Amino acid sequence: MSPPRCAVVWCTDWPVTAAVLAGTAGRGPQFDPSAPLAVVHARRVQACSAAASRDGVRVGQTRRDAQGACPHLVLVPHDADRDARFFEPVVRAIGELVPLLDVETPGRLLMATRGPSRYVGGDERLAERLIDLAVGAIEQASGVAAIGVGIADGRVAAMLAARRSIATGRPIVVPSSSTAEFLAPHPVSVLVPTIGADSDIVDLLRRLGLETFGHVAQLTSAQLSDRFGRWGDGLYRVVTGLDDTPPAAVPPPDDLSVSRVFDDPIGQIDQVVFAAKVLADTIEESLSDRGLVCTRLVVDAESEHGERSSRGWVHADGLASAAIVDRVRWQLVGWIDGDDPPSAGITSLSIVPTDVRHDSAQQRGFWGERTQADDTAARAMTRLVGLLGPDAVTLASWRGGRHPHDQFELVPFASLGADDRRLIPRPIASSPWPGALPAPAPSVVHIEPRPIDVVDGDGRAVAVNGRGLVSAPPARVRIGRDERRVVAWAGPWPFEEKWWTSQRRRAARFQFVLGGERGPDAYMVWLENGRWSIVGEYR
Amino acid sequence: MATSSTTAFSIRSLTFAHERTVPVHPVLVPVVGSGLVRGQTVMCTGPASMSCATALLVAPTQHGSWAAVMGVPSFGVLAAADMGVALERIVFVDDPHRVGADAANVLGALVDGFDLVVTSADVMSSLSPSLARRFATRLQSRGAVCIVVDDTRAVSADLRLDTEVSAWSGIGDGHGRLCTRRVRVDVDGRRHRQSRRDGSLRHEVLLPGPGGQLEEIDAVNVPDGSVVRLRSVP
Repeated sequence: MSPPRCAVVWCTDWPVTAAVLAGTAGRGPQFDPSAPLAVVHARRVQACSAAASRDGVRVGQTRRDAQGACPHLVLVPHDADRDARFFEPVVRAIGELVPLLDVETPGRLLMATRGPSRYVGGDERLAERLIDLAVGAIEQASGVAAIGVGIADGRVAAMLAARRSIATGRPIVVPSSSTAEFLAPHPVSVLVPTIGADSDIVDLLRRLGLETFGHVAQLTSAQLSDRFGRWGDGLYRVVTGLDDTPPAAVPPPDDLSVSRVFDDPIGQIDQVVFAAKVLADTIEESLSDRGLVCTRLVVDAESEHGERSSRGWVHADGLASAAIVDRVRWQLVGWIDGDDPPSAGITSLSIVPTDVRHDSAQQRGFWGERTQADDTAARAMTRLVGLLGPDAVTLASWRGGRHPHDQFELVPFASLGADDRRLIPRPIASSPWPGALPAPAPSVVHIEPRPIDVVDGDGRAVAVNGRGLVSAPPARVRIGRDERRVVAWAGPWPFEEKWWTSQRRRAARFQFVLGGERGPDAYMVWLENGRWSIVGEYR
Repeated sequence: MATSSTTAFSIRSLTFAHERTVPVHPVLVPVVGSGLVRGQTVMCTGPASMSCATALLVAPTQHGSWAAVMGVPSFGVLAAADMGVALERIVFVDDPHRVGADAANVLGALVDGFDLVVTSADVMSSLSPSLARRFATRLQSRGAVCIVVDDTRAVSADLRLDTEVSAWSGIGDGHGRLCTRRVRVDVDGRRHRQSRRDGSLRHEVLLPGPGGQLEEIDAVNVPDGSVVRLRSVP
């Protein structure tokens, strides 16, 4: 079953375009569209103009690196409201032709094409009309704005078509029959801007030799879910041209829509947003009680004189309470500052979730936390970072590997949240990592292995030959000045890794149980380059 | 009437100290009771000290509590994950002495922010006695639990879990692999209400059990050591 046909209108680097538009509208400093510009958020480049990108500025770079690459770079502070406000004309212009459209984020629009295509006479005609309307709406900034329009089966394919159309300058329409061929050559790195994949996972895919969508699509859904859990299943659906919406999309329960009528019309956006916060919390709470997450919702606001603003918002990852509030604010800012502002205060606000899906138990980004304990812990961690330094406060993120110290990576708390760095939970029910020793893992893992001597019954050092056989059964172990008897031992489990690089490593792994005063003690011991050392203790 | 309703209110708002607890793993309930009392210091000693401390983190982190592991760089993260600890609520913090930070402030931030603070005997013995006392007072007022791995005289523990390893199973003389470990836990402590007349209570558990988790001895079929010998032929 192929997903519904969609069109995506994508203005890349929208924050820069919005800043230029704000300047021309006299609502902010003026910027020269042809100069290198970059919008910076949390010390990282969020978007940059074409001139800046020619000089080597990249999205995600730190501010200093960007300034290093391009010394005359003009930095513009980030402003989400500005992005929303100046995107409104585009939404409005396209809304004249396609009334049912969803805003994914300021800069990107998504719509179903079935009706509109029939109305204008075909997908190609629709794509051209869309690009004309979008360009017309922001003609003052045509120097910087890069607008792409793509039509394809499914959201992701349409998004990729739109991305490619920016480079070619012409809208791209992918026929239903050739979605898979269209997707196959795309590199996996585009998963980051399109479906918001973690750059670490993309990196992992690349290290596994899966460079393009085509490579990933050759695997089966079962193999991918086995390795990446539920995310792998989603990945399979994306790369094979099924959509990233799981088939188990469920009809939303009836009682989810929430609304609030204000007895006194409200003239201030902040007050409406404050009310929206309460509504959004209600939605999130009732959805999470059912194990659901909202992926699309409609925000409806009405003024005292009956003017209305209604808009759909989508987000494939699900909209949490804070994200819903942002959408409401963006919509109101765009409405009130737009060409057709309401002539009176706002009297009612309603939020209606229209698409929900089962919460895939995906771990939330670090900042999406909810409980009070999470908030308290986050505050404490911020304080600890201040006291101890950014690298001294870490959390464990799964990475995989064959050794106990490899499987989890300690990620500095300070780096989470910035550039969307997230903690990766260990995949549930994953098969064991090839070459890893089965559980139990050592409860103490030495960062610096402790050197020891291992001797056989005659006092000679025990060695392992090239075929992985021990010269004689180990009988005694000297740790520092102590000499201890080997009660039981197992191994060797040899491994050789990174033999294709200069960091090549060969070692034989053993488990030793040594006799002790208070019962037997177990150790994980490695023999590497003829030297024995304790790498872990089962303490 | 007014008086009696006031009394009812004041009674309801009163909670006994032993009711303010963080949960413990079901297998450990016979050992330490229904939960670790908030504000107390628990010391895990003996040859299974680290596994024992890790096992105490399983239930609280799964129930939404956060834990900080301070100054224990050798903490076995994989073993903790296997045991069932919710790693997304574990924070690893460097020893303040190692980075040259003010230990008093760091300990304060830990106690304020986390329900459990795991640290090592080395870190605790490096604190000055007055700082250790202030730390204990703050633990009590904030209701956090401090878990100290290994024995130190610098801390007066409210609860001591003293471990002794009876046997490892699954490993032979050059064959098999480490599989399960029988650990005897002796409970002792000045505030332990289940203390027997001799002041201690014993219990034997599998730590780790076959999958790396903490298990009851009866619950699983313990291999009796008859392992199939599998050896490579030269």
